[in-house]
Amino acid sequence: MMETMEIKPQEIIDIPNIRDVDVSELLDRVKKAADEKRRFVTMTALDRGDHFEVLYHFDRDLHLEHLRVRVPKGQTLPSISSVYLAAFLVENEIKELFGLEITDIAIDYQNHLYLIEGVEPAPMAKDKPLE
Amino acid sequence: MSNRTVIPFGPQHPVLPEPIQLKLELQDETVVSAIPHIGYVHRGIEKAAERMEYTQNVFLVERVCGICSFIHALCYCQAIEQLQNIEASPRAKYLRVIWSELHRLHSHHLWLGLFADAFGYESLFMQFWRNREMLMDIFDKTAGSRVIISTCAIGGTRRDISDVHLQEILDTLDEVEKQLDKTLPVILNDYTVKKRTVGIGKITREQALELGAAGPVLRANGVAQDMRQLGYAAYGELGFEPVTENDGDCYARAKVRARECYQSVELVRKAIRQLPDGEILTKPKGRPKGQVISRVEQPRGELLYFLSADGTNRLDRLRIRTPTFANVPPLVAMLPGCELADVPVIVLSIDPCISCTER
Repeated sequence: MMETMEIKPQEIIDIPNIRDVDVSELLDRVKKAADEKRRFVTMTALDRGDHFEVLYHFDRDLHLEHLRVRVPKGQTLPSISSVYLAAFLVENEIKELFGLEITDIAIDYQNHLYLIEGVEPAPMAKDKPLE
Repeated sequence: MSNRTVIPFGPQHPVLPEPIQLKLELQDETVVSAIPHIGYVHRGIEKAAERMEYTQNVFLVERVCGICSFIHALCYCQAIEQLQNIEASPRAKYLRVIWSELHRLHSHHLWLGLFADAFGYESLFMQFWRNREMLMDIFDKTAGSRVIISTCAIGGTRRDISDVHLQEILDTLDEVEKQLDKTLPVILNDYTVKKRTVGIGKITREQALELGAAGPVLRANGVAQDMRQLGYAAYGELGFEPVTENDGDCYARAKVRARECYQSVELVRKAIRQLPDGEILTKPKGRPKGQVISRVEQPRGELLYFLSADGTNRLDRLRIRTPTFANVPPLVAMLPGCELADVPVIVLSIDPCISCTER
């Protein structure tokens, strides 16, 4: 049976090797990662209420490094698919499931990678019911 | 006169058992470009993980994929263990290697059978799958289930493997290896198979790295990268070295998986020989708090779990990046320039698992 007791949330400690970057310098940082031959692994989006946190994970020789941008809700994030084409799929996923507008994705599925017409958008957003 | 057409390949196709569609733009019989479409089986498992308690998620993540269920649970449990600052016992670590490698072995058999079937070699398909049945029987005996075995737990393993069953595993692996010696040369040395795979669906080492390839797709381009090199579970004590090939084509990807079958057999034998005595479960304390990334090697490549936990009994976020998700962009690069008839073989060569991809 599911336990109902909840414990008050505490401050979350970051993963190691993470660098905070501003949205305006994101593409330059990503180009630098590409120049340094880092392999793009994936991106992770987190809904933080008034803003999104987006993490970019890169690997070199089995060591992970991460960039993090914070994007206020209602603002846009530039696609990195012009640098790492591999990002197009996960960028479409984040755009569709979180409702974060990502611009200039190399292949843009226009919110129909997973969702079909008539389905409520952004199902991964925190304000969407879990049931 | 040119004849440019667009052909929808999938999501239902006689050769492809996975629900993915490729919109192929063709110049006569030659593929010019391919746009992948998924979304037929998306289940929202990442969202469901926020609703369930973190202990229940072990069973949830196993259901991401029926082929490598144990490895999903392992990746998740290792992440929670890091957050709770606990370590699985030495015996549990070895048991985790044994079940992981048996999963890899049965997955590669499944793929080899499908690959043979793609060429119309139905008898060979059945022989690979008959071989695979012996491995599925091991799961049945050691876990009581063939597909979702639920033996991995936070802090170790939920079940032990008895000495009788360890001996049965060794005997089965002898037979599996004997059968591989018979069947693998048929597929790897066959004229037709070589004609259909050598130089087909080729990408360069640079493309593989730039496009974020994972697993055998990456290693078939000479990149010696395998998450087992991180030494998780007991891999650090087993002298693991990744299998690589250099040609970056469908044949090289098949060869990597074929050689990995033998490697898995050896790893299980070694793990059984070195299996220490002791407890199998370390009791977790407290609740997970913080952010962590856990990476393991699935049969299809690197599996990454990102967890964010705030000290409650539910996770703030669970992110799962599976290897097929990473191998879709390389697939898009493999197709231009190939003949339409080669498309099924090229798609199969990445060993696609759309169940993993769509979570």
